[in-house]
Amino acid sequence: MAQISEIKKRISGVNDIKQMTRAMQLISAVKMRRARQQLEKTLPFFMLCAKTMVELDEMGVHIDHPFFQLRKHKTGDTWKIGYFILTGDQGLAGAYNLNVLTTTEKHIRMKTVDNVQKGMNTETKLYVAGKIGKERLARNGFDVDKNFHYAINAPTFYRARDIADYIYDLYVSGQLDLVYFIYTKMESAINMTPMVTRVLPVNAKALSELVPTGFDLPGRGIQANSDIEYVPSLDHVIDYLINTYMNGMVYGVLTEAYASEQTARMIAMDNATDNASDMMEKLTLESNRARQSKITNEISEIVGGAEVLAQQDK
Amino acid sequence: MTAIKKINLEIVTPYAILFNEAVDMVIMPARDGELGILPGHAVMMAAITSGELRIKRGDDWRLLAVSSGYAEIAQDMAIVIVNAAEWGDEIDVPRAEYAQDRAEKRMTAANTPAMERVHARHALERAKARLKVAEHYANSQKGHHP
Repeated sequence: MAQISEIKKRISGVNDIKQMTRAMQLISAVKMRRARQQLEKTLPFFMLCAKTMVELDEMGVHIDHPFFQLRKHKTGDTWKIGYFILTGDQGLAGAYNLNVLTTTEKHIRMKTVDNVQKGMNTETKLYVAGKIGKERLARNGFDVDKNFHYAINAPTFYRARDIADYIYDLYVSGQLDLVYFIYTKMESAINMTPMVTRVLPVNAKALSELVPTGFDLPGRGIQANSDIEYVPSLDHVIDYLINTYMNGMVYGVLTEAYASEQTARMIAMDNATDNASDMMEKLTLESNRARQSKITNEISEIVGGAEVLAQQDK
Repeated sequence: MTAIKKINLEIVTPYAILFNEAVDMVIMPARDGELGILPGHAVMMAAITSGELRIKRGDDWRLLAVSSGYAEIAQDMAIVIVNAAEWGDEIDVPRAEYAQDRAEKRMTAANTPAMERVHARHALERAKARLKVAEHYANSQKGHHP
């Protein structure tokens, strides 16, 4: 009977897929664990930078510094906004890529409308890491920078410094007025949210919110309001601080996005493996039924045949 | 009031809290020259550049190559937050030499944009700092004082 061999073929096909999704799940789990360890290790560095920035802001010492001030624009001017978007090189990660892309499109639309209402123009430039996001955003008609090539896999601080330098140059040379990061943040082991964070100019208010609740640095750092001497000068200290902050920020975001992607893929592949198991169960049942009915058929044929023979003998 | 005898020195990099102990003295590579910190130092924030950071405990000195960052200093503590740091014995000398070479080429090449030249100069400073610390460390192993 053709039906059984067909079902058998499907079962082996589903089984192959199941083994593949299972392997992908295991790989993602390993990568995720590594990425999360990396993330935890970088937290003190990043938080100290963030804390110093917030303290300086509270002391009000750096009001005039270009990295803390929104550039002034009047009616008819154009805001040049740069988005650094972190997506995956691969799919098969549930809604991971899609969430980042929809968040991006929504934010760009919102900014544009906002500026139109103020009588200003908006110029957006997209710097995308990850093949999926790059292709899709370019296809949807956004201005995606073609010279921005950074791998999304296994982030290193070295790569983060490169990207930070790149952003720094664009901002300082006036090619960008505002710099946003769009990436995915891990709220918990299973919950991931797409985030839009302004990196430049520094937004101290938003920065203080980034510090996770319960993260405390007892006795660390200079207390605000004490009389501080700056060596060699406040401007120089801020320059170095900004540089360190940018590197830390980029590295943190890269690691966070990478950990999220791996987690998303792990969950998606776990579900796929479960579904494959369910399907195999159903198919096995179907194949057993088919075999059963085939046997029943054969028996009734034999019995029928035997009866005919018995009647002929009479 | 008892005099402050030690500084709690903390060195933080993106990869780890590298060091967190009480020390007698620390000399750090500040932007405008070396900065020696003894217990009881005035509250200060300093820009740290690529160079050699020296830690003194008793008669023992430890050497660390750091890249740029900043430091917060108070009477009984110092936090050094830098982009990278390596102990004298951990430095990969061939790699540092390669980085130095590459940075020099990038700086002198005619078609390098001005901004990239700045980054190349920083890379060169980092490589030089690492080579210097590696050399000092090697000398100290031979019995020379750092």
